[in-house]
Amino acid sequence: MKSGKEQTTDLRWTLQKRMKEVLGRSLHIRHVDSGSCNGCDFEMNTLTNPIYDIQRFGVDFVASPRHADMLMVTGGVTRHLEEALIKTYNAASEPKMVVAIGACACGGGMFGRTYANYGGVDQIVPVYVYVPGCPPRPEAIIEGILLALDRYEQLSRNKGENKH
Amino acid sequence: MFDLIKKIWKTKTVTKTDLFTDAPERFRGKPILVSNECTGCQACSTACPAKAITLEQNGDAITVSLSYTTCIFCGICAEVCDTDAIHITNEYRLATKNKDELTVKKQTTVAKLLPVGKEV
Repeated sequence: MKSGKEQTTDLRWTLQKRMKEVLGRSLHIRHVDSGSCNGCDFEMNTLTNPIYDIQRFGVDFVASPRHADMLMVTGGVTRHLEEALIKTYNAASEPKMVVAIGACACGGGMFGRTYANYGGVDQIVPVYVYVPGCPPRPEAIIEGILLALDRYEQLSRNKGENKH
Repeated sequence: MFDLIKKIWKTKTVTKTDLFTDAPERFRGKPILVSNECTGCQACSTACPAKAITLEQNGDAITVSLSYTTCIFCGICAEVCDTDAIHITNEYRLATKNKDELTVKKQTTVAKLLPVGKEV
């Protein structure tokens, strides 16, 4: 079994703890490809492999945005996939956490802003966390998920204060 | 049976126990603007394939701005720089909530190169 010291050093245990605190349940992620080169998608795939096994901490990739709490967007939205991104965003259930993965999704990357490329997910939908890197390491992606949970906690707390 | 248990004992688990160690030393991570030795030659900004670095020169003052949102971490800028004003580190944890944090600006003055070779 893991000792206490080891648990604190590994971010994944923190992830599990934070998810229990913030959401009270497991986190379901829907992956949206908005015109990426598949580099970032491969890195996201590695999160579920036996080495970075984050499914055992309660993070799961689902096949429908209606089941998802979080959208992970890769690629700097192309003109053709803009509609798909907006539809997916509207179909996702609350909280609509959006994490931009990779340089393209953060600010255009190699392709920049052209007539066919919007240059960043934040041009279309509100983004919670930016994870730059070309592609980012899986550890960086896990840290991104943690930061998104932080942001969600902040926003929900503000909402609660406004209500009362 | 005994051999099988012995084999499992040797292999241990595939899942890593401690993941969040530093990346390997030669990993191309976050580029940083280090020294005040920039000569304003614009070699980095012309070599950058993603146009992440921009240089603005006003007399003796240079403003170097580097955007991690467009940077593809190829390391060409560090390779090209004659005076080693840009370094590639193995830092990779760059995730932020604030996009403004991902643009770094540095103001320096033009470094004067020492004369090379014999005086005539």
